Amino acid sequence: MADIRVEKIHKKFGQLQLFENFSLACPDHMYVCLVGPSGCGKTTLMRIIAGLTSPESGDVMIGGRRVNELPPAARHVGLAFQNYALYPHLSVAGNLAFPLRAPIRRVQYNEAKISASVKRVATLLKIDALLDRHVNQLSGGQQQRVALGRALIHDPNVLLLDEPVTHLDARLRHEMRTEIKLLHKRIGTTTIHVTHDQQEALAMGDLIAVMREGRLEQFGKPLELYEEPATAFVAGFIGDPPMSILRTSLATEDSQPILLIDKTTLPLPSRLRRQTQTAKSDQVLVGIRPPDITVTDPNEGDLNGTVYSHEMVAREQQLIVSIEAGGEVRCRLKRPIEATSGTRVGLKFSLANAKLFDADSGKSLLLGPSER
Amino acid sequence: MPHVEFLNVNKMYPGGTRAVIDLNLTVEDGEFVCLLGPSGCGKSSTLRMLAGLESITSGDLLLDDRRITDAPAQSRDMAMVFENYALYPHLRVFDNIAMPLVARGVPRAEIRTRVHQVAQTLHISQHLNKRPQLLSGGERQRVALGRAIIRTPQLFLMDEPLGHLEAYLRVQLRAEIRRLHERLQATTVYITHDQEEAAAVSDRIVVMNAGRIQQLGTLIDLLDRPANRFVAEFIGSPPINLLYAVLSNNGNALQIGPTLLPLSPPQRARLKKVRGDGFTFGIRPEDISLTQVREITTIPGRVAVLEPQGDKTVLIADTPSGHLSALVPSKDVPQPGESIRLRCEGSRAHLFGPDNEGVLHGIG
Repeated sequence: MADIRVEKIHKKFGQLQLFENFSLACPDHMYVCLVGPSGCGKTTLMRIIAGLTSPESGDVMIGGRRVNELPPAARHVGLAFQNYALYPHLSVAGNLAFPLRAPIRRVQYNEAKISASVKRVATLLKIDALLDRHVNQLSGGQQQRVALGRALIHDPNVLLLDEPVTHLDARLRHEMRTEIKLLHKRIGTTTIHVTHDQQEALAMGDLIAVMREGRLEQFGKPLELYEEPATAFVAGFIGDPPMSILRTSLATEDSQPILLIDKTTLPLPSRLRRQTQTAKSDQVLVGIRPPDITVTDPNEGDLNGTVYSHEMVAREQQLIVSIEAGGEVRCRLKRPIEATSGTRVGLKFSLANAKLFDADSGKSLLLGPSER
Repeated sequence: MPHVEFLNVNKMYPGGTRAVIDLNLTVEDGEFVCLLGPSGCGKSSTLRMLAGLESITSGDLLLDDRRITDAPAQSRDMAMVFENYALYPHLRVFDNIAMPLVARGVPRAEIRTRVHQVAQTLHISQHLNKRPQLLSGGERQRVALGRAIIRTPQLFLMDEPLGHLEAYLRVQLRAEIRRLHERLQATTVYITHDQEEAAAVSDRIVVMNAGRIQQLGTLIDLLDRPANRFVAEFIGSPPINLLYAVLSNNGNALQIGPTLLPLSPPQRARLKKVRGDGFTFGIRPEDISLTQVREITTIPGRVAVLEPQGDKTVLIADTPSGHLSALVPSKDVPQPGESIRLRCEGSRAHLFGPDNEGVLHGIG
């Protein structure tokens, strides 16, 4: 068992400076999800921890020990990739045993010990009945179990999983999520799980690191990210559906702060009024979740817009509405309305649960001292 | 725009695999239909037969009442969009989109106007002079869509067009595809294995499995009245809970582990007619709630795992009948290890017989 820390790492790919002074600390026993759109650096970060990619500078620490100079095999990490990367010519048992037959472990593992380890891991992952099968005779879910088993076989200090359930069918994906989480509870190995799917990250992570373009946007517990997004990017990325972000200008009316979208006034609840005191400029982004947006007839809401697209999500209708004054919002309606792209609608906002962000930095306007 | 009819269509591959069995399906004029199913269900074979890329073993295919069963692919006038984009890497985006018009000898000036129109619709105007490899996956698929819509074919066929893309790009592009459909009103057949995508883009969903149509309808039809256990399992996210159930000794209730759910007299009568015993009780996570009531109608359990989604959390409990998922508010959710009781909303439950066909929708 071990904690994982990367400290002040720099990494360049050709002209592109991906990481500049990037740091992240994953505490011992935690299940940490790295999530973000492609190009955010999540996979590179995992490869740096595994030793498959070297940073130009900075420290990689596993269990308090600097491992930068150690080859991957000596870092005692277990790795499982999204495409399984199983050896097709070997049986399940052969695939599981493979890491134990590496030269570096020859002293530690004799055949008896290998077969005991294979049996233990196969039981843990419920593939003990499949040990003699060839991996190409297995279903996707079974192959993923073998890949996980192989990652765990040498009792690694940390487990690194790259999109471990992405390739599976919806139902199997849900089942494997639960199983991996239960497995983690039992073995307690510090785990880093890379995914592009925010829903998966929320469901599985004890902690989630949201990354974008080589930067850490926020690191926290799932519901912290959902309830207190640190940046407008996190607000627009996390949650299903995520927040809609609108650009507004801060003004005063009757000596109270208000938000202006074009010429429309949005009154602020007192919690947000206090937050506006920390605004650095009069340009403020407001984040609103779909339940706080009501669709009305044109001219009967706060603002007018046209339906850009509409779709059914489970039992609800989802509309994306382009606002005439600029920007777009996502709305969800329990009772679908007759709408096609181009239909004009009105929108009414409730800002009771809204979040405010600085328009330049995208950072959340800090809460007043009394609420800290 | 035309309509399409499959009449008793079968596809048998050399070696005896029956990919499509007795397919009867009408796609109406201007309709957007999704073929949805797991890999190997026959959806791709169906689309390829429609495109003329695959021969039809038996049965007939009609386009606007005209038999096209044996018509060559190029005479069918259908535009196809593939999962892997199939763009020409050595051509600029402009030329990729223009290709179908160039091939038909359309005058240059008209080509230029139409390419610019299409590019604007798909928000790729700024990329027209680039080569495809400089674009992201989502942008490439927009180019592939542009190439399909630049002319007005009889039919659009789309084969997992968003399959390669990341989740958030899929969400963006499926909205674009639906938007295009509403503008063009073109008859479209679309295949996917992703139910959420199917519901988002289409008017009607055709669920396929093992070469056969399992059920046709809107997402709500499929959620509320699944024809069989397969459809119930395949549709809905998080997936439906399926538990083993039997008729209680006195025949008045359904017994699931230690839990008894009362049945109405007509329901009892209906179940008595079912041959064999052992039912599958299906209940969706959104139709299970936490309760304090310690009655025989509720299910005892212990919280195993929590999967937060935001305002709601999927609570996975260990119960005498196995794992059970419930969608509950995130506020004050019980923690792993805590004992809980769960109540199923009987009116939203489904019961499947020993043959896995739907027997009851709504219990109690």
